[in-house]
Order: sequence, then C-alpha cells, then structure tokens
Amino acid sequence: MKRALEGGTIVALVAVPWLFPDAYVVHVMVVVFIFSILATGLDLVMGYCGQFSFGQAAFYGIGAYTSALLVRDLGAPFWVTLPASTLVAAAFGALLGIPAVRLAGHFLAVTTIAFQVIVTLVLTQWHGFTGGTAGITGIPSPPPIHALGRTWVSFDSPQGYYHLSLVVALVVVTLARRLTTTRLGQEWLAVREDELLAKTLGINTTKVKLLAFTLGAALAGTAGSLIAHYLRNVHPSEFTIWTSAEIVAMVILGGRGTFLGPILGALVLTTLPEYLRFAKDYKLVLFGLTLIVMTAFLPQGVLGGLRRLRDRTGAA
Amino acid sequence: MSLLELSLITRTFGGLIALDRVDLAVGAGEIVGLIGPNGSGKSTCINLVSGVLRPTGGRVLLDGVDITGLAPWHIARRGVVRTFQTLRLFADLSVLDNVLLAQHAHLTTGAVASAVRTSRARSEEGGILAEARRVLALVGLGDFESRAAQHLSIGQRRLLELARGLAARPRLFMLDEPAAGLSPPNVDRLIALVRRMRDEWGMTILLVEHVMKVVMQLSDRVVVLDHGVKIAEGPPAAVAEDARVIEAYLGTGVARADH
Amino acid sequence: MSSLDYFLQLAVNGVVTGGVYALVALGLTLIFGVLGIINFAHGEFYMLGAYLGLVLVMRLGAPFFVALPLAMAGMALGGIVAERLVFRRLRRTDPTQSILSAFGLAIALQTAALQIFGPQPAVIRTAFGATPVAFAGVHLTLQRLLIPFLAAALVLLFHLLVRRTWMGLSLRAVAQNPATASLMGIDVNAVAAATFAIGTALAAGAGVLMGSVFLMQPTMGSMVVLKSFTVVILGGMGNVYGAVGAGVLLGITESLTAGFLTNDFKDILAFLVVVLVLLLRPAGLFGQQVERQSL
Repeated sequence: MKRALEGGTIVALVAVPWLFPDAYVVHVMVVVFIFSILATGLDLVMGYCGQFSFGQAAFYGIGAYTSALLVRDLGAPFWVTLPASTLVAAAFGALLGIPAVRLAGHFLAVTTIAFQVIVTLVLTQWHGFTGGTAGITGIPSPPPIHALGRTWVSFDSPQGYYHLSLVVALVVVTLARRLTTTRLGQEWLAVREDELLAKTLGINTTKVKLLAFTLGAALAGTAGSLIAHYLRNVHPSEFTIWTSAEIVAMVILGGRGTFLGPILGALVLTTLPEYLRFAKDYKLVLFGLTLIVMTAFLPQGVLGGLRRLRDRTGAA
Repeated sequence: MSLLELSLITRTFGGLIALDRVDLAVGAGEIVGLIGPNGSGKSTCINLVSGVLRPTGGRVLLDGVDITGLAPWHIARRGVVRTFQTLRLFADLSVLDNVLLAQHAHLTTGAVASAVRTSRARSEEGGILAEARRVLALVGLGDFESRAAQHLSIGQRRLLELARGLAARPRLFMLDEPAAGLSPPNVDRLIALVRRMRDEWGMTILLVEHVMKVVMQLSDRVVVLDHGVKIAEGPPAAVAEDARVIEAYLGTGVARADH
Repeated sequence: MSSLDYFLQLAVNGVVTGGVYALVALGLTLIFGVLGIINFAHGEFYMLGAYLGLVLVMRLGAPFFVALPLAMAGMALGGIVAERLVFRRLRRTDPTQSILSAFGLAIALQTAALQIFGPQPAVIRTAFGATPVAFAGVHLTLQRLLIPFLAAALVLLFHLLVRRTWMGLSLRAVAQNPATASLMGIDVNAVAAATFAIGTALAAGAGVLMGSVFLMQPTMGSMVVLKSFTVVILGGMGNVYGAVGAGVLLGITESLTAGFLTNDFKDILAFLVVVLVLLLRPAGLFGQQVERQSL
C-alpha cells in the first residue's frame, strides 16, 4: 500500500509540468525540490543526530559558489561542478564539526550561527574572489541532451530544469533515508536520545556527530550547485542566517527525524508566501506570524502532531 | 593482579572533596560491594572508572593498564560496562534497539560495509540480533522487544539496563544501585541474575547498592566509603559489625542486614 | 594626525559603538539568564526604538532627552506584549523553539518597519550632533561623546534596579530556580514581563543612541543582534556585567581593526573570536568554568 502511494506520488510529480503548464508553478516546484534536499540534509543533523545547526545556508552558499567559481575560473561543466560542490561543502561541514562536536545546547546553536554569519560576510565582502555584493553571474545551465539528431531536454527553462532537480532530489533523499536505517543512523539516534549513555556503550560519539555535520553539509552543497545552475547567478543574499532559519523551520515544522517531515516542511514554507500574496507587501509579516503560531502549537511539527493525534485516538 | 585497581583516587568538585585518596581493588571474578551513606562518593567511583569524570588525582588501572583519563567509549570498548543510578535508556527507541546499540562497539565490520550490506556485515548484524534476543529472553523481556523503552515499568527498565550490559559481554560490570525501586520478588530475581553473571559468564562485578540484602547476599567483599574516605573493607559479615560503619550510618539499623 | 591621536580617535569611536553593543547584549543576556530564552528578535526592538526616537524628535519635535526615555518606555511595552504573546509558552524549552519563534517575530517586525518607514536611511538630528568637541587630539561631536556616558548611566540604573529593588531580587530568584521562586509566592509571569520590559527598553535605548550618530534603516537590527549574541557568549551567558565588558571590548577592537588593518572584515571579527573562544573556553572570557561532561 505504501509502495503504491509512493509510486503514485512520483508519477504525479513527474507529470506536473504537463498538468500545470504555468511556468511559475513549475518554478516554485523546482525551488521546493532544492529546499527538500536542504531540509533533508539538516534533518540528518538536527532530527536524527539531535544537534542544532543554523549553518545549513552557509553550506548551501559554499556549494553554490563552488559551482560558480569553477565555471567562472575553469569553465567546468555541470557534471563536474555538482560533485565538486558536494565535496567542498562536505569538507566545510567537517570543519564546522570540529568545534561543534564539543558543544551542546545554546553554545552549539550560537557557534553554528557564528559560522553562518562568517560565511555570509566572506561571500559579501571578499570582492576580489567572490564578486562581493554583485555576486557571480553568467553561470550556464547544464548542456542540453542531444541524441539521434534531436534535442530531448534543454535545461534553460523551469520546465526543462524541473525533471533534473526532481531526479537529483529523489536520488539524494532516497540515499539519505537509506542512511538513516543503517548502523550509523541508529548511532545518530542514540546520540540524540542520550549522548552520555551512548559513550558508555562504546560508541564514538565524536565521529558519529562529525559524520552528521559532514553529510548534512554535503547535501546542502548539492542543493547549492543545483540553484547556481538554475538561476544562473549566485548572490550572497540567498545564503544568509535568515535562509538558515527558514530551513530549520522547514525541518521543525514538517517534523524532525522523519523522512517526509522535511519535505513537507519545504513544500509548505516555500509555497506559503505564495498563498499570502493577497497581503502583498505585508505577506512576510503574516509569514512571521504563522511561524510563531506553528512553533507554539505544533512543536513536534505537522507529522509529529499527526502522530500524536493517531496515538491519542488509537490508544482510546 | 586485580582486574580493576583504583590507586589513590581523588576527585574534587570546586571546594567539595568527593573522593580523598581512595584505594580500591577488584579481583577477576570477584563481586565487590561498595556501600556508604549518601554523598560518600560511591557513584563518583563508577563515573571515574567509566571515564565519565576524570580524577583530580590518582590512577585507574584495568588489568594493569592505565586507563585514567581515557574517553568513555574507549574504556567501554575494553570491556567495561556500567549502569546508571538514575537509570538511562534510549527512551524513544525500542527495547531491542537499546540492546543492539550496546553491541555496536564490538562489531568488526565498518559503517561503510554496513551501509553497503556486504555479506560479512549482514551476518555480523544477524549475529548481534540473535544475541540481543537471547539476552532479552534471559532477563525476561523477550515479549517486549518492540516496545519503546519509555513505556516500560521501572522494574523492566532495570532489567533492560542489565540486558544491555550483558549483551556487551563485559569483563567488568559496574552496577549503580540496580535494586533501587524494585519490588521484593524482583530484588530476588536481580540477586539470582547477578550471581549467574559471575558464576556462569565469568564477569567481575562492582556493585554500588543501598539495599543491604543485595549487598550482603552477593558480595565476596564489601568496601565502605564515608565522605570520600574508605573506612572499612572485608567480608560482608565483618563489615556489618564494624563500629565505624555503624557510626557512619548513624545507627539507623541499616548495618544490621536482614538475611 | 599622529599615530597616538589616531589610536585614541579609534578607541573613542570604539567606546561609542561598544557602549551600544553593551546595552543590547545586556538585555539579551538578562532575558536568557532569567528566562532561558534566546531572543533572536532583540535587534528589532533596537531598530524600532531608534525609529520611535526618530519620530519623536524629527516629526514631533521632542527634545532628545525626552525622546530617549519615551522610546525606551514604548519598547518596554512592546517587550511585555511580545513576552505575553510569543514567548510565554517557550520558557525553558530547547533553544530551537525560542529561536524559531523569535525569528518569526523578527521577520514580521522588520517587514512591518520596512513598509511603514521605507528603506531609505535616516538619522536623528540633534543640536548636540552639530556641536563639535575636541580633547587630547580626538575630534567628535557632542552627541557622540554623550553616548558612552548615557550608556553607562543606563547600566548603572540597571544595576541599581537589579541589586536594590524587590523586583530585582525576584528576577534573580527566578533566574536561579523558577519553581522554587513560584512556590515562594513570586509571580513568575510578572517577572517574565518585567525581564522583557527591561531588556527591550535597554535595546531601544541603544537604538536611539546609535540612531543619533549613525544612519538607521529597518535592517539595522540583524547584524547588531547577531554580534550581541557573540558578546553574550564572550561575556559568559547570563553574566550581565561580563556582557557589558565584552561589548565595550568588541566595539574598541572592531574600531581598531577597521582603522589599522582593514575596514572590510571588521564585522567578521566578533564571529571569529566567538568560535575560537568556544573552542577553548566555552564559559566565555569572564564566565564560570563550565563542566562539559553532564551527568
């Protein structure tokens, strides 16, 4: 039954550009896919391993800029920039991991915030290397796929990019989900539930946490490469502490430590401003208020809330 | 040579001296009871041996090897297992998962092999699964393997802690007030189980306990701490009659063990 | 200008901005120390305080020394409302909840301010701002010179409030142990409201001071609150006087860095330092040693 549901959803997703020819809808979905990758990556760190991180947008930016710089300075093609962005972001994830694994609670939260701000400031102020406040433009979309004398797919438009981002998102998210069922995934849960206990059981919690940060960052790097080749430019304002907070909101409000939660969160928070468009200039005010309300009434996220509802009605 | 040796162990917390140059030795295959009034430093001893705390002075030796200051997970991998006075479990995880995690440290195949599902990894993981089930059946929790740990009664939680430790096949098992909160029949079950652990599986046991029945029935030797200082040591009966011990407990009648 | 003069000039400038950081961090660490809440929206109260001061002085013609306490009172009220509506449920929960809620509040406030006041920078012009002052080779305006003194006065006021009044005692009781305090008849809700009121009033005061010498805009709160987080850590979380000391230190260090090394990366300084400090000494520069192992 579950398989059928999953299969059906995937088929529906694939069909979207034909069901909804409006380029704007397709564009929003591309953004949803990219943020699903970001949120899933963060969920590994926060949901499964239980470590705060307000730095996900920093790795997103590092991934995006890696792609941009490789294109600008070396003319690298997409199939090089995508893995490169993933690896470079992962390396920085490990870098943040070094102080992070020694800290907990508020100290950890502030360290990740500081890391995020440092990255944003470097991207904004290192004009010579990163283009500063102008960012980097002129990034090409991935080359179109020709075969048998016909162009099958061109990635210049939202419709063209849609299936690429869908495929990458599906692959990445499936791998992440697989990871959570392995031994490492179990050890993440152990660290989340009771780190001291895990240590006394012989689990090297430092390594476990470091891996969480590294892998979470790797996913963000992949997302960064995707956005860079989609928007065809990178700009520091896309990768700020506010972006990080949004991604945290997606994970928390969707339901952390679950497979669907981050995806749901990405979907809701990306599309929410669209539904608030009636408020025009004040839509972000409503967005902020919605966050407040949801944090107050759904601390376990939408999925957590549903689970509690089910437990309550089931146990009765 | 003792399996465990604490040599001139000292631990201070700011101005408070929790342990003051204590010497403690546990021989292989022994059950040593560690008793004393509240605040005497018993749990601190276990914390120091397991690496949760570092001593301010002195050394901890395991089988002659200096393990002072090693990380807790390092010490655990050398075959040292402990339970917690406050009873720690992975609350949201199942009973089975709790016991499986205790064995992770003893797997030889790496995380990558596990992720990729090599045949060796799968057979090892099958092995620890079987062992987890065996141990759970042994302590009587076999029917509860899928229940979340937080939904167990306190008696069951204590059993789970023991099962967790057993699955790890330790050389040294340190029990921190395992009988706390247990009903009398469960206390008897505990005593029988601990005895089996030493008699059948050759484990060395350091037992911190307030319930005198447990200490007296199980211990080969009893060590008494008071305000961080060792005040008596010897066979249970002798310690029970020791004037200093009785005085330390302020004559509450606790030292007169009911056999 | 001689090297020493230059140094002094920078140092004095640094004390000015440092005073502002100190006030914002003071409010932030107070709220964290008493209520366990990380108020990510603190910068918005700073910003709104500045704009309130702007309206009072520039549109309503109020004198500066009237506008300052009025703006602080206004934002104290705002803080009380925010505590009641947004943060009451989140006391002593994990940091993520309060950071997320505060983030929502911050977005809402910042966007509203952007719509109401517009994005163009503004400044509170006062007669003091036009009066030049010089001493020991240092040149500045009277307005700028006033700031460290006013900031110090506010800190002193805060100290007297906390140490000498009944309210201050209640605050400290709740910071130690809310359950016990409640059992002893202290109205924890009133204390929470008072804590926010004091914290946001201090932030608003800082905003007015800052807005009288530098340009203000609706986004000014973001960087200030982030830097203030680092000041709070460096001063030792919950350590109010550590926060003041660290704030002033940061202001001076930033100014010297900008003057002697490079202007570009001065903003990064605070964040680099905090990461380093947390690596080596998580209790902060002035805090109590924190036992990392928890039982």
